[in-house]
Formats: sequence, C-alpha cells, structure tokens
Amino acid sequence: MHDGHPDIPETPGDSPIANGRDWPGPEMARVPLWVYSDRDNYQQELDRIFYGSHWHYVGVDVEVPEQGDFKRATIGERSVLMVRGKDDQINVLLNSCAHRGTEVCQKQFGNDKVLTCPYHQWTYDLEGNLTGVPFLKGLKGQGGFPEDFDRSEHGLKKLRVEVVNGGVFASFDPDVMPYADYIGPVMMKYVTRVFSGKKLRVLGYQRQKLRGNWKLYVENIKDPYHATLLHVFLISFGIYRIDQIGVTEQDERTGAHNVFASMRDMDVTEEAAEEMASFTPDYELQDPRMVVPVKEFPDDISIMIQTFFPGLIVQQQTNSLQIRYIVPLGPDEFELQWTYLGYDDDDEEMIQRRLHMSNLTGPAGYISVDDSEVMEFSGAGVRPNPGNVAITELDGRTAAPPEGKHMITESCIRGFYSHYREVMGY
Amino acid sequence: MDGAVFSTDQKARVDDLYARYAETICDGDLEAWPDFFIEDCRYHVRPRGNHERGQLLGPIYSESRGALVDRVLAIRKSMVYMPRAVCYVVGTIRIVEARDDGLTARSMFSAYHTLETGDSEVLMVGRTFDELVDDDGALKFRERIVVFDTERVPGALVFPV
Repeated sequence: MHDGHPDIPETPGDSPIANGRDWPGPEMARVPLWVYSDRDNYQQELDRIFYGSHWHYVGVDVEVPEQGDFKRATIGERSVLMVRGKDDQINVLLNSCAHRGTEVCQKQFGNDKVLTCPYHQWTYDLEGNLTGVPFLKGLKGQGGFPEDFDRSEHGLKKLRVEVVNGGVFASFDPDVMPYADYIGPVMMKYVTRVFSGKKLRVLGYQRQKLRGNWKLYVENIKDPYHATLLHVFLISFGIYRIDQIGVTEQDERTGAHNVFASMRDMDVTEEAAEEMASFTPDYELQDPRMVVPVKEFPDDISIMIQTFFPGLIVQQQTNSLQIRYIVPLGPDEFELQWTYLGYDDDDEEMIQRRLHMSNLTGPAGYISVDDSEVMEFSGAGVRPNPGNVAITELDGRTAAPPEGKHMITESCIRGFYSHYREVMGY
Repeated sequence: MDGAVFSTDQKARVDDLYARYAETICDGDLEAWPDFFIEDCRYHVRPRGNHERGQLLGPIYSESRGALVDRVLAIRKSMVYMPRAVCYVVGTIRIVEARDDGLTARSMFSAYHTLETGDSEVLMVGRTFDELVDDDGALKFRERIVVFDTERVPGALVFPV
C-alpha cells in the first residue's frame, strides 16, 4: 500500500541531534536532567523512538474478536486504530484521514464494515485502503478530482504489525526487525509465562495523567532500589523485598529491556530490616483477600515485572496480571494506561481474586499511589534544574546486568540509557 | 418507578446520609468513613467505560467494611503522597425504589482536590448507585458503586470518594 503521509520518515533516525549538549559520565552512571524537560529532545524522542524502528504495544487480540471490531490506541502522540480485518488479520492504521488529516475514528471501541471519516466521508476498508470518495467525478460534469487521482495511493498509513501470543504490537518502520529479535530470547522466555498463548480476557482498564516526563516512569519500574524503601505496604506483606530470592535480567542486544522476577518470602533478615526504615512487620489486614495468592504458574515466581523499550510494562503480581503502557503528553506529562488481564477460562473465584488484587495497583493502588505521587515529585524536582545530573551508580557504572543476577542494582536504568543514547545519538 | 412518591421522612434521612458522607470526605475524617457502611458491604469505584462494558474493575474494589478500614489504615500509615484536601459535592440525590428491606438510591457528584501547590482541580465527576439499609436505627450503605466519567485520573486517587 502506498504511504499517504509523506511527513512520516520511512527511514527513522535521520533528524539532527536535539540540543548539542554532551552527556555527562562517568560511563553510564549519570543522567542529565534536561532529558526530562527539553522540548527539542522530546521531539526527537517522538521521531526516533516512538515513530522510529521500535515496537509498541497497541492491545490484546481479544479486544477485537470479530471482523470489523476496532480499538483506538496511541503510539507516541499519534492515534492509531487496531482493526480486525478480513481473513481475521489484525491491522494497525494511523487514525488520520489521507484527505485532510482529520481523526477518522473517535470511539474507543467499536465495530463497522468500513472506516469513514466524518468530515468529508472518505471511506476506507478494514485494511485501510481508500474505497469511497464522495463527488469523485464531481456533479453534472463539474468539479470532481483530476483524472489521474488514484485512490490506491491514498489509503490510511498502515503500520507493521505482529501478534505474539495474544499481544498486538506495531511499528511505524516497515523494516523494523521481527518482534522476537527486538526483545530477544531471554525476555521472550519470561513474557511467555503470562502470554503463554492461552486465550486472554480483559478485566478492565485504568488511566492516569501524571505530571512528569515519561522516562521517569520507565525508570521507576526499572528500579528495585526504591521498591524496597518507598513501598511500606509492599515490603510489609512480603510481596516484594530487595532481599528476596530473585533475578534481574536484561536483554543481550540492547540492555534496555529487562525483567525482575522474585519469589515471595515472609522472612526478613535482620540486616535487611535495618536498612529498610519503613519495614512494619506487624501490619495486619482485616480483609486480606488482595494479598492471598494461589499458585497459578508452573514455577515459583510470585512477582515478575518486565519492561520493554520504550514504554511497555508487563507485570504478574501473584495472580494480578497487568499491562502498563506509557503515552507521552509532551516533555512534562504522560498518561499511564493500565490493562488488567485474566484468562478466558478463569472461574469466578479466580476473577474475584484478580479483582481484589487489583487494589494494589492503579490510581488508588495500595502500592501504586506512592509511585504516582513520586512521579510528580520527580517532575517538580527535575523541571527547573535541567543543568543538574541524576546519579545511577548503585551496583556499578556500566550497563551490564548484575553479576549473580541480584536485584540490588540500578543496572537496568543504565541499560535503558545506554540504548537511549545510541538511538538518540548522544 | 417514575414519579414514585416517597415519604418526606425517607427522603430527609437519605439526604442527611449523603450530606454527612460528603462532609466526612471534605473534613478528611477518614476514620469515620467506614462507619457509613454495614459490615457485609460492597464499595467499588470504577470508570464509566469499564462499567458500561460490564467490567467490574476500577481503582477500588472492596467487598467488606474491613477492606475499607484497611484502606484508611494504609492512607494513614503506608501510602506516600502530597498532602491534599478533597472537596466532594453531592447533588440530585434520588430514591429510586423503596422496599421493606431497604432503599435503592442514586446521586451525582463532583470531587475536587487541592494539593499543597494551592491549585484546585477536578479529581472526578460521576454518579453513585447505592443500596441503603437500616442498621440498628441508622441508615447505611450496603452497596455503593461509584462510576466516574473522569477516566484519565489526574495523579493519584488517595482518598475515597
């Protein structure tokens, strides 16, 4: 299909470096605070990362089960449509009419035989091909489009799509590497624990708008250091603590995708307790349903949190399964979109368990409130101080994953920025 | 039950309950909040989209008064957040149905929060769908489903609505 949007570079990564500033060292152990607020840098992130040669999450296949079903999603700042087309294929189309750029579809979810732009009723099939143009031949021999106007050249921009065990991913770069190569075998091994190919079910969505740069949230998820200090609730119930048996792994190709996986353990060592001032061992719940898990997966991993460059997070928190996806809203704000999942064959008891556990996360989450708030504290702290630097030196200065795979590390943040600098040209 | 007439006494009791509930949120008197509910209660806060799709999930999913007490304890003891005030305005309270075992009622609300910065912003606007029962002479919530339109929540929802 022809590209009706010449403004989207087919070969990403050719825009100039945003601001000519140097990235401070030593090695990967510093992050200049201007990356969280600089507008030129942000624009370059959109071009090179969000609209470049990377994969982005748009949804799960069960959100569009029938032919003609569609869902709106966002990549960077661009609205896209995930559409179930003919032959059961899922297409991802830019939600911007080839005529005058208008958003074709406003509804979050829907079903239709064709996609019709409300403005001048240009009509596209479910594959994004332009099929209908009102007054194509004009009226009574007057007006109309030129003879050589070729509808086949004016479809909706079609993104590259891969469906991996129910997860739907898209990229603006038609030459992007296959998804499996993009995340690598180690990340694939972990993510297919949850996305095993078993049919999924969406339990619901949550959305938040947070006043901070989008990367601050990625870092938050790549940072087990804060989790054991900030989150009193988390550590007191043994849901996650830095001293638990667990692993940190990063993908071999970029170091920018990573996973933390740990086993729940109620015993806390004296040494760890002394370091964790917030540890409250006598915390008791009247209704403990949100922290009582059942064994669901073949292994003993009770919490697995995985981040994929640039802004996708997949989490299994005992029996709560969530996708978090980050949508940037300019350099100073982002939207966090949560999708809560279960499996199609869940019984009522399991659905109830997952719903109770959902209290831990989201805008009112026992754990997530802390992070939402800290994002805004971080945003407020970094915005007026672009000349300062952040220190990411816990467990070394390189992007290499920790020896022995332990979790007392900031290596995943360093891994993210090592890849980020490469992509951005810093 | 269009045009149903309920006794002035019933309506006055319901109005009083909703007014006291709103005042409790505005006063920040969290410890008093669970007492608006009976022990075996349901309190859900969920976005309108989920609600309309039949999805029960939302920011808060509580199925007992104990869970509300737990939330208050967490807000006081474990959650980290910027201090704030919440202004909860309730209006158009209506008794939908009166039965021997209780009342079905609904209301519209708007909630604003004011952070330490001093700016007030809309936290949520929405509706409540409620089941009320007489609990030893006091009218209480057996069920309160808060359905909010403001799907993109600004920041965190720290206090209940």
